[in-house]
Amino acid sequence: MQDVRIRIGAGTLLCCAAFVSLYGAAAVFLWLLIFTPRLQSLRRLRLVIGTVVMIGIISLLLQVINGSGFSYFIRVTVIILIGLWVAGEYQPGDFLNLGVWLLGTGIGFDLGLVAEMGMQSFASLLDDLDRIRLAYSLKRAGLNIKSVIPTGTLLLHLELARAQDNAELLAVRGYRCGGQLTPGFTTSVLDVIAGLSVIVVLLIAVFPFVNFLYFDSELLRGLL
Amino acid sequence: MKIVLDRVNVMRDNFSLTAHGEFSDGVHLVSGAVGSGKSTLALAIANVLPLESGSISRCGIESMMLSLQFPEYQVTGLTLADECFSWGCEPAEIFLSSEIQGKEHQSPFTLSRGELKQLHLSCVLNKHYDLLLLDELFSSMDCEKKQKFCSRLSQRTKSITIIFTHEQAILPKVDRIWEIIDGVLHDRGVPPAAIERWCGAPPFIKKLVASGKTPRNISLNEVLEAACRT
Repeated sequence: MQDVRIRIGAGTLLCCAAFVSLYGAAAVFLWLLIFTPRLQSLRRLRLVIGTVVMIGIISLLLQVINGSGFSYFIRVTVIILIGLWVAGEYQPGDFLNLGVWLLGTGIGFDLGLVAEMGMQSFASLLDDLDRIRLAYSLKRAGLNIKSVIPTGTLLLHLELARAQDNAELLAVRGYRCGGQLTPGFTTSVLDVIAGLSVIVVLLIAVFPFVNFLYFDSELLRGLL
Repeated sequence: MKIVLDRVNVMRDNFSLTAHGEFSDGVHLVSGAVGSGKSTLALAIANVLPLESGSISRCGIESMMLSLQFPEYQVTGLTLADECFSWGCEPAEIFLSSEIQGKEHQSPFTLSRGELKQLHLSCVLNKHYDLLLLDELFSSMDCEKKQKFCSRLSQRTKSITIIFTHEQAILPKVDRIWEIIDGVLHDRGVPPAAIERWCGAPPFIKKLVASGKTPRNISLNEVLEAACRT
């Protein structure tokens, strides 16, 4: 999906749809299979597996506590897939264009810049993690439970140092707030079709939810 | 001990590097301009980067270390003492040689990059490795420290030490010179003959060669000796 406006809009609505109900999560999953490059979006499979395992553990706890773990697992996994798809399709400058288009050259530019820097930091963080992994392997230590605190500290330090460098660079270049930018977007027919089909997904997600609320309120009225 | 690079080809994004040759015991210098592929070759020899084609055989090598250009990427300890331990070194002996005594309990990130590089190299050179790959070991260091590490490197004769650098001023005494030009590794041979074939030699060495005063090696002492030769 080339148009970042449709991508972010669709991503937001799909997240809501997946969270609202299991029907919604199933419909979103189907949407992802039809309109996205599927597994090609999953650039870092180990990271994805790690995240899913983490959600699995929380879901297991929820299942034991109140029996909602299965539903939670499905819904949150689908939301993670949406996030991975949005992140995978990201092109540098997307958020700056979107911010200025949405909120103008003042606050829109600032928010877009923050989002761009966030995406840049995320990419750097993954590179840092690779280098740390290499350092441990060269020292024949290996990443394990003991190395979590030093690794976290190191990642934090590198990220803060980078943030300071960026802040100094912006200050040196005279940045105070806002900026001039003419946003440009490329919209394909497929983007529009995918965007419109999100409405269908939303309807599938919301209607059982509305029915549930209706049923619930009827039940409550009956009880009262 | 030796490493044999048999028609190796490594791809990194759109960059391609081809290397063929044999590295035996002693100190090897791999020179090349910034972006010529020195780090790529170091990573390939360290078995970190996959090969596109060809093969690398390591004969008799049981221990290997790669020193990366930026020392902070190899920090794994929360304190300077922990950092020394992580390299398998006793902090006391490292602190004596790296001149940062009294800071054992400080975070490695309280040091400047130059100080951290010094600590990092002290730890690396304190241990014996059959194969030692040093990527830009002179970066972030002053001339005095460069000289100090050059003399320590010259003592490594019973192992393979490969220095990947674009340094043009202070270099150690080496046993063989290699050069990367246009994505190809060239073997320039053994000094002093290699110095005459070395395209990327520092300007003052080139000038000495042009005036018929080829130094016996590339260390500062030998270059000075050649310059004073009558």
